Order: sequence, then C-alpha cells, then structure tokens
Amino acid sequence: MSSFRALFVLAVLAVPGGVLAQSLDPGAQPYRKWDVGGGMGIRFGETEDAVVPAGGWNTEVSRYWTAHVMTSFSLMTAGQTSYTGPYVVNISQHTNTGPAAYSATAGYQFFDNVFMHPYVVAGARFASHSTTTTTYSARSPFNSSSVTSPSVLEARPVVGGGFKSYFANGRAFMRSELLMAINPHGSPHAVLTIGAGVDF
Amino acid sequence: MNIRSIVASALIFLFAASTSNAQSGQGYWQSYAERVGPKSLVVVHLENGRRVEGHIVQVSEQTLSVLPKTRIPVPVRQLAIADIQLIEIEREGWSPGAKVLVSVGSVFGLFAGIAIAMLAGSR
Repeated sequence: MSSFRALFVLAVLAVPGGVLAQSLDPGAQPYRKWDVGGGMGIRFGETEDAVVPAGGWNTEVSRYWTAHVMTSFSLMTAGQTSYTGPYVVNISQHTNTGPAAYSATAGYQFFDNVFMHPYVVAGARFASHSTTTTTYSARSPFNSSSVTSPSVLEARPVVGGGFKSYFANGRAFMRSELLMAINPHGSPHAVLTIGAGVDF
Repeated sequence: MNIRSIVASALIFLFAASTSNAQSGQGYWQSYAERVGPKSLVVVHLENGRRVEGHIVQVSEQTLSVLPKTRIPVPVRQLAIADIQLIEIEREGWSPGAKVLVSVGSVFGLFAGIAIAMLAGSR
C-alpha cells in the first residue's frame, strides 16, 4: 500500500510540469533547463522520524520546464535508527531506515533571468525502513528475542521554499532552503538545507 | 526614493541649471548618460514604470543603449531618451551567491570557534 501511495505521489508530481510546459510560453525568457547540486540538511523538530534524518548530505537534479516551473529529484543520506516505542517494560521497538532517502518535488521559481531567484516547492520525501521489536525476558538470564518486519516504503509530504543565489558567472549558485515535513503523528519537522550547484 | 536617486536627481537639476535653460528634458538625460560614460552600471527608470538595470553601451541623441545585467546574456536594449524618467548609478558589488557563501562560512566558522572554545574549556 505504501509503495502504491509513493508511486501515486510521483505520478502526481510529474503531471504539472508537463501540463504547464504546454500552456506557458517557454520562449518568453531565456533559461537553462537543468541544474544539479548538493549540500547538507539539518532537521529541527521535537521527535525522531524514520524518513527525515536529523542531518545528512543530499544531491539534487532539477528540470526546468519553463523559466519558472521545475521538478526536482533528490537523493539523501539516511540510515538512522528511530525508537518508536511501545514504551512498555520488557519490549522495545525501533525502526531502521535504509541508507538513502529520496524526494520528488515540483516548484515555482520567481523572477526572470536574475541573480537571485526565490522559489517555493512541494512534494514528498520517501524512505524505506524496517521495524525491529525486541522482547526482553524478566527472568534470569534475561535473554531477549528480536523480530524484524519486512521493509516498507514510507512517504512524508514536504512543502517549503528557498533562494537560488547565483555567482557572477551566472551558472554556479548557492541554494538555501527551508522545508517542512509532517510525520504520521502530525509532528512537523523543519529541514534547513544549504548547498551549491550549477545550471546547464 | 533612496539616497542615490536623490543625489542623481540633484546632480541632474544642478547640471540642467548650469546649462542652457532652453535645453529639454531629453537633452539633460542624454548629457548625463554621456557624462556617466559607457560600461557604467545604471538603473534606468522609464516613464511607463519599468526599470532596466544594466551597463551603458552607447548614447545617442535619441536612444540610450543598455546591456541588461542578467544571468543569461540578452541583447542590448535601446531605450528612447524621451522615455527616461530617472537614471541611477549603481555600484558593482558582490554577487548574491558570494554573499550567501560568505554568510554560511561565517556562521560555520562561528560555530566551529564556539565548539573549539567549549572543548578547550572542558579540559
């Protein structure tokens, strides 16, 4: 079911770029169609999250369908362990996230052909994780047994914005971005990302 | 209106006063652009409310040629002198990317300094 939801979100994200590319005049302003970059992200939030790590590296590629509309795909380091309860004696449960997380977003970039573009994005972030439940014996010799569930793909909606600040050559840029992600319990996380990249 | 606009306007007024009173508005913007000179970075405010930021390429009696300051090069724009409301002189500064890089570097440097100081203090 989670895989289906993930595919559905990806399909939805792929639609606006293609539709808007047809309805807007792409020749109105010059623009470069691709950019690639990387950086680091730091999460601010009260609780742990199996999909959004506390910190990590990321790399991103974006396709510009017009001077303003873009879709992006990111690959992020993950691999975190999150304790998820059930917070009762003798039983502990934690999730082990896979080594990488992914995200797909669609965005809108403001202004034309300038050296600093504010932008807004919305999309989803995905990561697969398994849950390990460990039960401890209350009697000596206090053995424990663990059961690990199969990996499941989980998604988090993300929304946010940032700035693409270009260097004098007009191709290389710094990206500063703040994204909000919400976990299934409704706890929001803010992810601050700083990175650099180049248009081509 | 910022200080540069005020200074530019004052200069224009003084320049206009010192020359022939019969000189038209067109004339003093042309003279001003010539005095500022080619390659200068200016912001040209037009009568229709639009503004063009770029480097002066050429000044003629009727038109001011400006190469817009854009990320991806675009052709030179010919602006009619008669349409000019104001010319502001801009100063070439750091690019936004350089400013962000320096800011981020400064913040990381500050945190690194604090961390080093805390580690040194804990020993």
